[in-house]
Amino acid sequence: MNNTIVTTAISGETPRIISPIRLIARILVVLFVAEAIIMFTLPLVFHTEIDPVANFADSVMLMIVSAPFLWFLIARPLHTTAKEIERLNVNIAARAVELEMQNIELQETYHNLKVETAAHRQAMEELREKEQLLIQQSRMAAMGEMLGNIAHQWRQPLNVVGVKIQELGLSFKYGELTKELVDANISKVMEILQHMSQTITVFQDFTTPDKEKGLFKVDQVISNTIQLVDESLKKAGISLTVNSIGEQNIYGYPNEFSQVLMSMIMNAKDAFIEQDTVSPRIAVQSFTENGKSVVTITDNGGGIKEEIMDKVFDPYFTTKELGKGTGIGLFLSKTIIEKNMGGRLTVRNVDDGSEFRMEV
Amino acid sequence: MIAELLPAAFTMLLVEDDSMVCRSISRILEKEYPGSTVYTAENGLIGLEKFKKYFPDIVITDINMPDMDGLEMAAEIKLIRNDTKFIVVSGYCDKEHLEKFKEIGFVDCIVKPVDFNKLFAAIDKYRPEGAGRPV
Repeated sequence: MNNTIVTTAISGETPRIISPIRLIARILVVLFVAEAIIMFTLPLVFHTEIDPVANFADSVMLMIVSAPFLWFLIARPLHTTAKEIERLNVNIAARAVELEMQNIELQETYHNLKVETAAHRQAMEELREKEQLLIQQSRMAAMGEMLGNIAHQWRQPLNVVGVKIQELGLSFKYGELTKELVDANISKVMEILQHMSQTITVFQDFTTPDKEKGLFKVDQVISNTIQLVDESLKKAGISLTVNSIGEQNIYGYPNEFSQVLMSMIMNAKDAFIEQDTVSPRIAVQSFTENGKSVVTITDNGGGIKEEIMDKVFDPYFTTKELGKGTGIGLFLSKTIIEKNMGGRLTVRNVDDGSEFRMEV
Repeated sequence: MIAELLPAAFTMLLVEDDSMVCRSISRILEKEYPGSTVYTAENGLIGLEKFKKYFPDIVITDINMPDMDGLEMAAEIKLIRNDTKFIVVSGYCDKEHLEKFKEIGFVDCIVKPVDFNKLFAAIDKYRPEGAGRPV
């Protein structure tokens, strides 16, 4: 029965159902009428007056009379109930259909979601790959910068070594080669070579990621970093001052810290070029405040426009020409100071430039 | 004949910010060119002052120096004496830098580390006729 209803409902036709109660009522009425007719015709046919037959006919008459009452009192309410049940059944069937449809829809949604999740995962992977590539590029850019710094830093000592060596040969030619000159020049050349060798070590440290956290002296890292860039700053006519008050120790990654410092200094240098700053200056200061080590890097490169102030630490945000900046330097710096070392890196504008402040 | 035995004196101004290099080069130049005088300066400002004082025949200068760089100094010197001969001693003698040096009318660019043979050759080209070397 249910199945029929469902099928008809699904096929969209009006359900045609014959109620069993109505059927029984109809049969009863027919039986009563038939019996009454028989009971009336039997005495007429046989011309006899049989008591039981008469009684039976009476009772039949009674039943016929009471039939409408029975119909109204019992069959009708029952019929109504049956109809109600039928209606409910149809409703239920409709609900079942609806549920079925919803189920199908849900399955579709689930499938779509699955496809979407896969796409999402792939997009995430692509993004991570892109990020890796950018970090790689920025590292390459940093290496290029570093090579430039080494070139500047070595040019002068190489010249001194060259002069000192040739001085020995020329002095011999002039007949003035003395033991004192030989000793003096050899020791000077050796001193320079030692210094150059030490510089490579510092450069190497700079590019090597720190394996584990350790306690390091802030002023030591500052002076090492500045050693890497001072020649190239000098060449660009930038004056750099360092002022360390007290001795701060930081528990963290010294090479990464140095990288951040370098980023800030290079950023200032780029600002000077962009702004065509007259007498460019960079000031590095380190001090202790509220039990924290603070390092500030201040420049007079015109500062950061207010409207981009919130964005300077965003990944891939750059104001530099295409190919000049990766937009990753300050983002990485913030990551290093805040995520890796639990500190804070902020920036604000000062009189005629910007000030980056690291707190660890 | 006499000129060969007693070379005519000529003067040079050496501007170089590394004092040790400056001392060594000036000492070597005075040995190489007996009779010549080498004045030294450690930056452009001092170089300009020394130029005004001694009017050297040849100016040998570094480019990157504190206070006043070689190019600025050369521009000032040219206002004083237009035909001053400049020998640039610099870490960079590439095209881009040469363009800039041309403006000051330099005669030679010696790339650092300095090769004295090249420096001598440049000086030989521009020192006054017959002055300098005894040989």
